[in-house]
Amino acid sequence: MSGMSLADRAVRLALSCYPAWWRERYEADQEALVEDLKAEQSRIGWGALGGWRLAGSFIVGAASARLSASGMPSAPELWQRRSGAASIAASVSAALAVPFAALLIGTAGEYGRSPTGSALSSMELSRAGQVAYWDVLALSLLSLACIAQLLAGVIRLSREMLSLAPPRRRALIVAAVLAPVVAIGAGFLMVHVSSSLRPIIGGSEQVRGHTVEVGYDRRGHPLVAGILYWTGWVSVVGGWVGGAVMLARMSFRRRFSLQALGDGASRARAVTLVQTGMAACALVLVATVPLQEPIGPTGGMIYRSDLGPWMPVVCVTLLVVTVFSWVATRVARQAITHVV
Amino acid sequence: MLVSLADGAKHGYALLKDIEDFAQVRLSPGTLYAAIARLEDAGLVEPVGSEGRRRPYRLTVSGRRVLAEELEAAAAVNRVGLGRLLGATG
Repeated sequence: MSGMSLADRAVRLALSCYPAWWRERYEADQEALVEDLKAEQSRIGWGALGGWRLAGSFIVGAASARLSASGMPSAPELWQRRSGAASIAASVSAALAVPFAALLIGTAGEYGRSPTGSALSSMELSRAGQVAYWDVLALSLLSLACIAQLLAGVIRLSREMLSLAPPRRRALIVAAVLAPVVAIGAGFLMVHVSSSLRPIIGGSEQVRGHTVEVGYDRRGHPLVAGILYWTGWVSVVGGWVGGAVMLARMSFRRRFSLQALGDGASRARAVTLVQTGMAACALVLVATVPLQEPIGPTGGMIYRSDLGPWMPVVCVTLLVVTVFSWVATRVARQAITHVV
Repeated sequence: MLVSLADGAKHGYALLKDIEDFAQVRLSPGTLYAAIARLEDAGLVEPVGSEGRRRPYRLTVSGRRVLAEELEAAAAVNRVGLGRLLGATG
């Protein structure tokens, strides 16, 4: 191993990304092929890009082998495990989208000048701001639909896990399901409490190169309110992500009933449909930022996010998670069909 | 790949080289093995023993039949195409 170049290690790593059943069949042959290709290194430029290109090719091949399962033996055990893992991956990725959507919704607001010092209505937003306003509203409704579907799925999964688990592990399962719920609830409470600690202050600040008079300013809060606000969001996101990962770890390799798997797959399909809408909303939200008109001297508002420059990053993450969820759902449905 | 295996069994590297020679296409190794897996699944190719770590593949009876049908169909299209081209220019 000590004499291996970085590209060699990358190729080895890429080969290890193939599923076990694939490696049993093709790994020795693939390694022999790598050696043959290395032997003609002057032709393919192994020393420069050749090795990395080869690693990339194997990475794509490994992803394709995992997704298509082309050539996978028809052993029921293998397919059962694949359907379980894919259902969980689909559900977890679907669940991961929610905290990102919640972060977008919860940190969004209207930024503007109010002659009376009070918040202006949404109708006074610029056109792009109005689009953002309705977009966030749609995102909120879709997130609620997603949460409802996911909660129903978690309840179904928990019941199935409880029935399969030995008695001494049941308390652990209940704790694992409840802990994220508590973390999320506590997080929302902290965010809510932080808003009541926020003083109403007048003043002005710079928003995208324009001086804006504000009736209140979250960034001008006392330290406690600021800490509560962001700790609350960390708790919400952490609780959700941690809960999803914990649930996945607990349910991985467990043999769920076919009925539970089928239910999970159809639920994952419904969730991905909702998520498609959420991803579209996130894209619209990103698009409205540069389109918003500057605030004029007589008023006008900009839809803004406390996330600032991180807002597009959160939107793109939501999109990536959604695409992953689509793919995992497709794999899960294919595997379950095979098992059934 | 089926054409490459028509004259006998070949392992991965030999397949890559042969396809590159007669089709001027350099398959990436990831694509090559994905194709082998699909063809194996379809029962068109099968492994034959092994040469050290290398594992040669050959056409099955079904693979030979499918290849012959595909080549005949392609040849028919070629004949029609060439006939029309020559008719138009002649």
